[in-house]
Amino acid sequence: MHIPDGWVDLPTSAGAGAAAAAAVAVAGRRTAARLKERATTLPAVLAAYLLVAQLPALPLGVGTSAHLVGTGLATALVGPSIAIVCVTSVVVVQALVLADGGVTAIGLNLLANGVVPALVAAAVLGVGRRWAAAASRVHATAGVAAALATMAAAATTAAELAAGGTDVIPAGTVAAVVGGAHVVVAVGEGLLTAAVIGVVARLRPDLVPRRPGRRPDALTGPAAS
Amino acid sequence: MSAAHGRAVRVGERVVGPLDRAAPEAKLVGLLGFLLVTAVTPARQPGVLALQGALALLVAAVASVEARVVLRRLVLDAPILVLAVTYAIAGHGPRTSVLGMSLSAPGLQVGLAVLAKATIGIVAVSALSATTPVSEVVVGMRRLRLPGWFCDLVALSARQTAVLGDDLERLRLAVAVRCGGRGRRAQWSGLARALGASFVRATERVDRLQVAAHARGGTALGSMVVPGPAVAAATASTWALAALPAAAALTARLAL
Repeated sequence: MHIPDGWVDLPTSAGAGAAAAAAVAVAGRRTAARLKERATTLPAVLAAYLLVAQLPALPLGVGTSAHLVGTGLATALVGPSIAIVCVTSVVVVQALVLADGGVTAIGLNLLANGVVPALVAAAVLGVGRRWAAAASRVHATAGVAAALATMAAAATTAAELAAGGTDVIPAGTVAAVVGGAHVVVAVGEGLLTAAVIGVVARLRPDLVPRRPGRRPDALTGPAAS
Repeated sequence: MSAAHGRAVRVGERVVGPLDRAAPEAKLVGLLGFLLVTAVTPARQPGVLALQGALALLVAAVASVEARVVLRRLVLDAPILVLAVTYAIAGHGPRTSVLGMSLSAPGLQVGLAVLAKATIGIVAVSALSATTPVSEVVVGMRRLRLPGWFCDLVALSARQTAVLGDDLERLRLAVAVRCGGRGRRAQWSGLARALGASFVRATERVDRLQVAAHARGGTALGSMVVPGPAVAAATASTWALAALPAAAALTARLAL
């Protein structure tokens, strides 16, 4: 979910905005250094891919539906720095064009849906690296990373609501509601991410890093042209 | 809103209003200012929030936002509604009885205020997006001195969204026709196939864009944000016009 305008107080929003801006600046520098002349095209096209991939909703039963969030998927495919840059573009387009998520909450949503889950996914992929050395396990590791990234996103959102929200309700209750709602979403995200990586690995094995967290040269290496 | 005014607005025949012509940077700052004032309006002033909501609707009407678009976007309020209900049920403080249920009075107030502010945000952003194409939004961002690489990034991704969106729709249709089952499993695997194939095509688009950049003579892509003469720059009167909603919202907050 995205935090809307006017929920979290301004000092917290501004703090999150500053933290997110710093993280994006670092990620942007690392992306530019790694991708060189493709530093705009690759993240921009991936951001467009994430925006589009979020649209198809799948029914989960009991009247709710899930859709791909994609931060974990992007991290597994291109690493955390480029993933953070992609999600930044996604969050800005969502806030200013699609009215999804607050304009004054861009920093909060960026931190919760981009920076934190990308770092968590990268950490999980790093831990699972040895186990995933076999190609058949790459997508399973990515699925677990995406699921845990989703839970990290929910936890960050709950923390932001607790830090800058209201005190009429205990923070634990908010965390329980937000976290509980995301458990099913996280499982769905993990399954879908694993399946998508499996399809990409079948179609273009060179695009999927054999060892997750390592960037494949076909995608982030020197331009093919 | 246009439907209520008996005006049929279809794609390609939008009525150009004052907000369509206004400079994007002024609209961005005006929107942000309005939303900041709304954000600092306390929950214990529901009258002020109602006035600010009316202001947002007025601006949306001037922008001839289609009611359908706003109503569809209200779906985004759903998770906020869940949390607002949680506030009302689990909040502390004095209890109040609503329809036979015992609810927390401050929790109910805060929950309603959060819901109202989220809805005001959706209406206000809809007014911006109805009158400002993404290409102009990024021109506004550039004029507001946001980093050039970042504006390029947003501009290019917004442009590529339409291309990739069409592509994914075609892929999903193809997958559904050829290996479509009715079960949930078939739906999930179908979506995964389409998304995987779409990712491969997205990477191919990166290569195409890079080839195009080389063909244009440089290795660099060149600036994506081209503020042509078509996008007016903000004048003093544009800034004043754009500041109106925020000023009115602030007046309501201070006067009531």
